[in-house]
Amino acid sequence: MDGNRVTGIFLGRALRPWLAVSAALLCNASLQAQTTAVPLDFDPESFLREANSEVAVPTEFTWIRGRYTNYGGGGGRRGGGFSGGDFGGFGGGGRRGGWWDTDYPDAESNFLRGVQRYTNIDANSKSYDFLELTDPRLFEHTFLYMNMKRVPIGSTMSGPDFSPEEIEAMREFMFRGGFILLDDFWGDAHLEDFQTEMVKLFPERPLVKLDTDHEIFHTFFDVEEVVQVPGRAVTWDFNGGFSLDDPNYPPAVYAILDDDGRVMLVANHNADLGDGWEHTFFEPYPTRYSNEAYKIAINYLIYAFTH
Amino acid sequence: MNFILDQHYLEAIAQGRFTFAYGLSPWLALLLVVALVGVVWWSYRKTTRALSPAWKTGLITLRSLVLILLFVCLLRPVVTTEQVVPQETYLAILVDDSQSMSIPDLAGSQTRAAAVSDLLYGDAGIVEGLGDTFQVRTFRFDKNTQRVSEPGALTAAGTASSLDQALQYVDEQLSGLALGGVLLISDGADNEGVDPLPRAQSFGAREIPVFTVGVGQENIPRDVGIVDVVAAKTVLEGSVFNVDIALSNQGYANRSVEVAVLDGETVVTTQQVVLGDDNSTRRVSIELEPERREAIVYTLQVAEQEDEIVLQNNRYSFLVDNSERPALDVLYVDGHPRNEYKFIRRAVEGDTSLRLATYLQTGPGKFYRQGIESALELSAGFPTTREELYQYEAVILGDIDRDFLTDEQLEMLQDFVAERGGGLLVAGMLQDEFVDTVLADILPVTLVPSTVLPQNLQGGITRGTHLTGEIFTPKLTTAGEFSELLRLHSDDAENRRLWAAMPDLQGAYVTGRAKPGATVLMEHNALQFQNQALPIIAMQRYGSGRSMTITSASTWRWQMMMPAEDQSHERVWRQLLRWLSVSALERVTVEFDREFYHVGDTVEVTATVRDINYQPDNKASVWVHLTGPQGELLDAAMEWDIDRDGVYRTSFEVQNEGVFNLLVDVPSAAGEADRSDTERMSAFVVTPSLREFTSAGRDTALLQRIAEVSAGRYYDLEQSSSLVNDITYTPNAYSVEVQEDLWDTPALLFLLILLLCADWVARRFKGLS
Repeated sequence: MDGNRVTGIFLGRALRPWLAVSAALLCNASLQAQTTAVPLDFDPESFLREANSEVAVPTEFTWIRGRYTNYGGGGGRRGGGFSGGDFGGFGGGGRRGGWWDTDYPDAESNFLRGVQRYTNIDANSKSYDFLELTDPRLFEHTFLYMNMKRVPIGSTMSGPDFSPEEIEAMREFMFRGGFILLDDFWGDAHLEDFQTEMVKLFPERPLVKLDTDHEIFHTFFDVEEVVQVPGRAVTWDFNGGFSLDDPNYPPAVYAILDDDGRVMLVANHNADLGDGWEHTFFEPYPTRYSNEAYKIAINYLIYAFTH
Repeated sequence: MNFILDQHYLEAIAQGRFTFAYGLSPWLALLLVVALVGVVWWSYRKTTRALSPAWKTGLITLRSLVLILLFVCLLRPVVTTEQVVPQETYLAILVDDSQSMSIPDLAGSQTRAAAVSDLLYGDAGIVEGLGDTFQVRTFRFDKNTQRVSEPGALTAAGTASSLDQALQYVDEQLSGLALGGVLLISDGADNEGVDPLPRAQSFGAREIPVFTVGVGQENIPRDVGIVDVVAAKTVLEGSVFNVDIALSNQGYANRSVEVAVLDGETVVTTQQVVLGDDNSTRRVSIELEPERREAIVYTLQVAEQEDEIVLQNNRYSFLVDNSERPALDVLYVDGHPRNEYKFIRRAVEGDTSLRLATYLQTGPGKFYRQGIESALELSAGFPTTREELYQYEAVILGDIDRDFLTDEQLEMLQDFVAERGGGLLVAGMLQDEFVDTVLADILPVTLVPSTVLPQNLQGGITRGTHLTGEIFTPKLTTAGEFSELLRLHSDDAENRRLWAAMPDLQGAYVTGRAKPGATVLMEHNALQFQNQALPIIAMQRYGSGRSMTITSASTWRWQMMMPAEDQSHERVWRQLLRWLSVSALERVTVEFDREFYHVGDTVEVTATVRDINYQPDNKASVWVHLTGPQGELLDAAMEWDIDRDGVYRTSFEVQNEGVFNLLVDVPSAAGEADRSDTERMSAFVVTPSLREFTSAGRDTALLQRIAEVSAGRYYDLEQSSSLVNDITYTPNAYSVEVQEDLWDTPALLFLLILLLCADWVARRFKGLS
């Protein structure tokens, strides 16, 4: 899905998430997290100049998106093969049948700009990359994001089908201390697919449903409610049979813990954080959901850097 | 009087102390002897029967000898000897009563103690014989000396032997009396470390000879013994530790023996050990893991071998203090979330000997605390008072901005290291603004503003194409290779192999050269500043504390780029942080004068007390509370040692074997908010002693030297029959000269009769009248 870039047309909308997140910062305070100062000197024009002139300055942190094997044998859209626009790779052939790069890279770029602005993590809007899960360079990083989308829901024509090599790489990545964030899978059918993959990944470890009193929801912001962050295509924009805050798709956060109780993998069910970041500056996308996508993901990042 | 001449007569004669009471001129005496011979020859000029010349010569000789002997007796020959006046002179008998005297290495498996008892009190006991002449005083000794009056007082139970102490005791007890000699009966195994020869010389100088009797065999023929054990007195985190054991061997060369480690009656582990050649020592190491968080007494047991003479040295007990103790508190502040922070935290998470309290700036004006013990800890940020800061043993500064700390906080940090003895680690990039602060003084590297660095050294630690951001292979210096801080394995070769397999680091920031007093453990393999490789890990002492810099933020690669089960990253960081914090001064420290004690020993306890600012406290009230193995309790005040600031002492004697727990408390600190560090628990163990059975062979050389330097004489036990006579006649300070007639000695009369008989028989044989 192509993202909306920051332009003058969406100037008004572009300010919304930053101001909204700032407001959230004002409202939230946790035992461990002290209240930050709002950037009162926020200047929209300079922000846009900044955003448009950003160059790839090396940073300490790089956001890594994982590319994986799909059902039907696809390895993802990028790098050639069948690509059909927003539905590229649908039932795709060869290694090109997946949705691993959904929202890439606009979601990353927007989210990282937020990370740069609101945290002290050394990152900027260009601090992203993608890697095959089996790429040895994966271990030069500590945070991995993956989209778990399967279209249509319930189909076995696409979606992640981790190979044994990928399973081994991910297990080793997490056991060494890496953190994995999974995103964008909906309904019971996707949940079952997800559970199938998780059993392949960790047959010996249960999936744990996290309550909002878990530390991961309080490392930076106090997230009191897990929100159903809508996906643009499958929820509201294209009238795909969903509506906002659809009670048939209750949002939940699942996790797999290591031997010391630390979260090493977290998965947002019935939420599409990627779209929440990607559509930050898209006028019709409800701002509230973008805010929630930023807040919860920044918390994940801080948790990953501290646990 | 003996039938033949006593030895002392012969010695006196040999020494020229022989004269004639009727002082005839020697020439006249000689003339008379010649005259006597002449008269006899003349009388045999004619005989009633013819004699051959040989017979005549023989008869003349016999008769001449009879007359000469009578003539000599008429002259009244005397010898001059040195003797004491009976019952006016004292003699001290010192008997070794230590455990080594219980060794049955004499004929018929008789113990040394039994043989000595026979010598003293047996059928021909020397105590009675010496009592004819001397006032005898008998003493037993081990490490102490007491007077004894009966054989039953000797128990061979002393846990140490001190010949010097025994001689000194006698000297003191009998000073002022007419001490004419000392008889020292021992195996000579002195293990108290004080040379007895000077004291023996002192006796000699005062003409008090020391006679020594050696007991036992010089070499125990068949024995396996534990001669030395080295084990960690305290175990830091209930982890594995090694016990190093030295086994001596005589008579069981190259035999495999079983060494067991017992915790009470439970066998913890066993190991087969092949002994070395005879008279050699074999060293072995056994790995142990304490199973309880308390002071544990382990017992080593070497299996008994057939015909082994000394079994006492097959067992050895030692104490390992594995009791719960407070973790070392480390404060870690960091300016931004980064991998280094995450993995330092993870590295020490399982280490109960360390508590890492962290204060991380996650965003502008936003902080995240971990490892805190209360909601208040670090709630106001980096400590602003010494009392608050001094609760920690070490401080780590990560990537922080200059405004993270005020000037006052930096100066407090300087005192924290210099006076409180804490450790400071800077593990992040330092902004130029720090160059003119006290940090520059504390750290082991010089701080150079980035603006004066050469172009190739600018760029910092972030990823990029600049040289300082490149991946590099860190190089261990010689100091680093052998430092306990960076040790990955106790074996040198294995340690080198493991370090060679460690992943490269990425990025180094340049601070400047290492200071002259600093030790560089790790350096950059390619980049140099002022002709010195860039230090990556450097350390130094600063005042009472320690400081360290790590100039790369990528040690996390040692975790992420190594297999998950590899513990190198954890091990290095735990070692670094323990080193940094473990030597921080404590408010109260407790020391004992020995590693372990035996029953009857005096335990000297020394406590060093510091006030809330870690200055020696001479005005404290200090109490020690002792709990013994039988539940016995002792409370005592400790007294200030006027010669040493902050030092308090007390001592007590221990009467039972087992573990003694001791609490030193400083009630005078009662007003302070946190008193947890003004109490100190400690423990010591009272064990059976091995010393008496280590090198327990008779030390003949030492006993001979004692006798020699004091003008006495040495005897083997088997050769001590002449002891009484020798002691009686050996000159001493109270001897008087006595002239003894020899004319009435039975030997002379017998000789005279013999000569007369021979003469008579010979004459009858030849038919002479």
